[in-house]
Amino acid sequence: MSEVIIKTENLGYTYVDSLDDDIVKVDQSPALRGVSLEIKRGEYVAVLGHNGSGKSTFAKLINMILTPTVGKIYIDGVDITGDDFTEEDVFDIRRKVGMVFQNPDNQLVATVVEEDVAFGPENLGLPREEIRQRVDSALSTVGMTEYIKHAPHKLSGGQKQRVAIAGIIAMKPEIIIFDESTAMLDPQGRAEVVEIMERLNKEEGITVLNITHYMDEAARADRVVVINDGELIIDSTAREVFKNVELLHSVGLEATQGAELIAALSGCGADISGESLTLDETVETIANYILRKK
Amino acid sequence: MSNILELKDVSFVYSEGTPFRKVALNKVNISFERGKITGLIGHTGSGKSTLVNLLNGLYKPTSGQVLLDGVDIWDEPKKIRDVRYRVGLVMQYPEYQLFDETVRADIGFALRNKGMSEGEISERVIEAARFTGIGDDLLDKSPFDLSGGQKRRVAIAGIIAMRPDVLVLDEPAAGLDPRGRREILGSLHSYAEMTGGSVILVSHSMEDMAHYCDNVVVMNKAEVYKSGTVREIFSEAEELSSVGLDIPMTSKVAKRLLDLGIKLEGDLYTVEGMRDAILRYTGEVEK
Repeated sequence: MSEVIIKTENLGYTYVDSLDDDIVKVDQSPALRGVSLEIKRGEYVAVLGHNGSGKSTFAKLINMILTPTVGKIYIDGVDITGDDFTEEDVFDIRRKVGMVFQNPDNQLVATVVEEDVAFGPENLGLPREEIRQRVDSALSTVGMTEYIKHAPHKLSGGQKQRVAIAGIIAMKPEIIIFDESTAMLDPQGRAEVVEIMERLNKEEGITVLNITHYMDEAARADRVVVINDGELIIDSTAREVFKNVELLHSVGLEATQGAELIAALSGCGADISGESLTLDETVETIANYILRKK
Repeated sequence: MSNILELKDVSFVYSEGTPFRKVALNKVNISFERGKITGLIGHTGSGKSTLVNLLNGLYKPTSGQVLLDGVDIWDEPKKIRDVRYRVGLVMQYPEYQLFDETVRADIGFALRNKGMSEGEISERVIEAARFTGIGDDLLDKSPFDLSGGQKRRVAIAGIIAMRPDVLVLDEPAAGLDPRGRREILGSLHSYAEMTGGSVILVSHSMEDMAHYCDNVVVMNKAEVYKSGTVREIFSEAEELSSVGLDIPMTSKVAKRLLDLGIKLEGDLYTVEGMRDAILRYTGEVEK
């Protein structure tokens, strides 16, 4: 068990057109380049970046859907880019690094909820009792026990995504990457998924990477990483990141609404300062400003 | 007549005559104005999606009328296809429906089906591409080589190319980054303004509704809960909470400030409106 669970060194990836194998595209620009970072066990990290910034590529490299063009990746101390890393080891990494995708419909395979959740553990060749126990416990963690015999396609978007998460939990991963897992959900479904994400992190100690376009989600993470045009440009606490509204705008992002409001006031010459990461903080900062002015 | 599309006492029932009978819409009356963007909000199961499918004749009302320019779209059921050219529907994640070899061909597909001349098609394709911000350099590329945000624009351009009188979009900005959201939603505004068409926007994002729409219709339990201008709807933010909807973040701040005895006035549902209201309150700008 290593303290640093994900480590990348000068990580880079360039997509090549597989249909044009004989034409070597030298001018293809890398989707990701020079990314070096360390994520500690149990961290809750949000990954931001505009569409096409390379953040999903980063996620796919971490659980070996893609293999790096250059650079190194260490998962739990194991060099997954090393020469002695075998095909067999790939399965071990995929079990350790679970991924929840955007569209729940693309992730559910079975016609009954419990069978869908059992799909992963069954493929691990686990004994029957162990599978039963893992399925029950995973469904209970995501609050879907009462739907155990239901058909997944009849569930709401949020419920489907919870079943998909249960399928990942049943594999007992150490890292879960949520790749825009809330993008297709309504506000209630989104709140449910975020709540589970945080519970897995705080209570089960699972390292969580949340790739998202929702700034209010990112504001809840311990740490925020911003990728722009393939490069890591910001890596700090959520509090620090959302103070730099101008920088976020310059890379096509936004801050939280609270931070945007404080920045808009400053922009009009108001000498306002204070925290604005949460609703409470924003209210306090504005109330203090108003009382001082009146 | 300023109303292009009207729903009169429209009801829709799923699985009528079976034990699974479900009333999805119950005597709904709504009018959509020319040149305006109308937001349609309501939590999942409120009847929004059923409503969208009724607007261009994908569903037929169980009772009541859908009037396009004053004419019931079901008067001549054989002509319902013409209605679909006039009421363009952009479904959720429309980029999954791209299929043609080039962006140009994909945007022009419906026009070609309609039997329009190649010269006219080419003009319309370029116009639609400009509306949605697709550069000329992308027109001869394969749509599958584009980024997600670009694909979304191509799909929307395919509908805009038909120059529909009514453009209906179901969550057109879902999954896009903040800049992409702004650009796509901003282009809808120019579509409504420049063509005089009516735009209907379905979204869960209250911030986007407050920022981009002129009018808002709130659906709840198969009925219209409330409708009016953005200002009318969002100045009563608490009512929205009562039907299970979120309210814009700045409205929440305003409400909390009110609890502290600070009563702001103005369009408190957008960042800009809230900013101005605070500056007026402190006397930094004139009332």
